[in-house]
Amino acid sequence: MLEHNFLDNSDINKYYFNRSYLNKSYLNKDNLLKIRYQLKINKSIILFSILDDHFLKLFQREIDQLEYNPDFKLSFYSCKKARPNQLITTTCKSILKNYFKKEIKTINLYRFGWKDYTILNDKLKSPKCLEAIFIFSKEKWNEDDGGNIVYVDAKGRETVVPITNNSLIIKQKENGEKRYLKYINSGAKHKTIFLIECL
Amino acid sequence: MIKQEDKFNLNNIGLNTLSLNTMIKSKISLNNKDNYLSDWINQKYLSLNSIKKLQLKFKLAQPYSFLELRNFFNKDKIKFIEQAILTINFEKKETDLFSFYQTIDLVSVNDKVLREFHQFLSSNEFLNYLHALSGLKLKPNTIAMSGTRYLAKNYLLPHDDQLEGRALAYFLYLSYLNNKDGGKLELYGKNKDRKMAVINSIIPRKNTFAFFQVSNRSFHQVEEVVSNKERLAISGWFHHA
Repeated sequence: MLEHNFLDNSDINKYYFNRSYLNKSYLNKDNLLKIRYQLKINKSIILFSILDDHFLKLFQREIDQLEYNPDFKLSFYSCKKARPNQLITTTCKSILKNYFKKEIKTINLYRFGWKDYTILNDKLKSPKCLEAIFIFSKEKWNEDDGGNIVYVDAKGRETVVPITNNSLIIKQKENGEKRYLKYINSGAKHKTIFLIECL
Repeated sequence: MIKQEDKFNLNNIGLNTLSLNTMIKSKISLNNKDNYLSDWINQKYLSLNSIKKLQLKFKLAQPYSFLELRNFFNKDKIKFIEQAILTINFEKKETDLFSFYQTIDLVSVNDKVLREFHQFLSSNEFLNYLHALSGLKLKPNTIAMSGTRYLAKNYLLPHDDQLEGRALAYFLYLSYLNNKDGGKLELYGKNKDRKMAVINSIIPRKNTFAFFQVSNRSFHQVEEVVSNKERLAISGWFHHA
C-alpha cells in the first residue's frame, strides 16, 4: 500500500541522517516528525534549503561537471540528460531514507535550459506512484520565464511549483496525476535548471 | 502556349487528376473575372498551369504534404480582414503545450468581413480549388476558424493536430516576421540520421496562405517569438467529406 511508503512516528528511531549533507534544521527530530506527519496527511511537501550551504557548493559543482547529452522525444520532452555519479545517488538516497520506507530504485538527472520543456502527452502513463525531485538552479526565476514544475490531477487542476534552488519536492502522485515542466522561454536564455528525479 | 480550348483538355496538358475534372464539372471558369474565386484569390494561382505545379509541389513536399502560397489573396481583401480581426477580442491561452492569444471561433462573430471570409473558405468553389491542389475531398460549411496572436515569448510546442475528421490545417498570416524574430511554423520529420527534427519551416509573411495535410505524421510547432513583433494569423482546419 502506497500510504505506508512514508515513515511515521513509530519509526522515529529509523533515521539515516548524514550530517554533512543536510541543512541543520532538518537534523532536528521535531522537524523530522512534522515533515513525516505532513507527508502522511497531505501526501506531498516541498523542503527548501535542503542541503547544507557548504555541501551545496560541492554538490552543484558535481552536477555542473557531468556530461549532458541532448534528450528529445517529439511531443514528449526536450532536455539534456546525464548519468548521476556516486556522490549524487548516495546523497539523494540517504536524504530520502529519512522519509521513505522503500529504497529509491531510479535516479535520473536532467538539465533544462532555454527551449526545453516536458509535455503532458496522452500516451504517458500516470499510475499512482511516489516521487522526489531535487531542484538546483543558481539563477533567480520569474514566473513568466517558464521552467515551473506543474502537477495536474485527473480533474485537470494544476499545482504550480516555482523553481527554487536547493529544494526538494516529495509527492505521492495519485492515479491520473501528471507532471510537466513549463517551456523555458527566451526570458531565461542564460538560466539553467537541474532536476534530480528519484522514483 | 496552351490554347483556350485546350485548357480543359486533360490529355493535351498531361494532367489526369480527378480534381480538375471536378472543377470542370462544377463549371468553374478560371478565366472568368466575375468568378467567386477571382474576387478573392490572386490570379496567378488560378491558372491551370499554376494548379498543376502546385499539385505536384504539395504531393512532393517534405516532410509531409504542404503548400506555402505567398500574396495569395487580393490586397483589398487582406486589408479588410486584418482590420476586422483586430477588432475581435483575443484571450490568453496557456497550457503545457502553448502560450498565445486566441479569439473565439470566428463563425460566431458579427463582423461582416470575417463572416464573408468564412463563407468564402467554406464555399464549394474554394473547397473544389483546394481539392484540385491537395487531392482531398473536403466537407463544405464545416471549417474551423480562429484568430491567433503570438507576442514575445509565446509559442506552440510540437503536436500533430490529429483529431477525427481533420483533413487540412490552414493558416493565413497577417503580419511580417523575419527569421530572427522567431514565430516560424516548423514542420518535423526524420532527418538523414533518422531522428525527428525540423525539416521545413514557413516564415510568417502577410498574405501568405499555407496549409498542410493532417495525419499521424504532421508534427509541427510554432517557434517562440523572440522579438517584440506580433505574429497575427487566422487559422483552422478543413474536414474530410
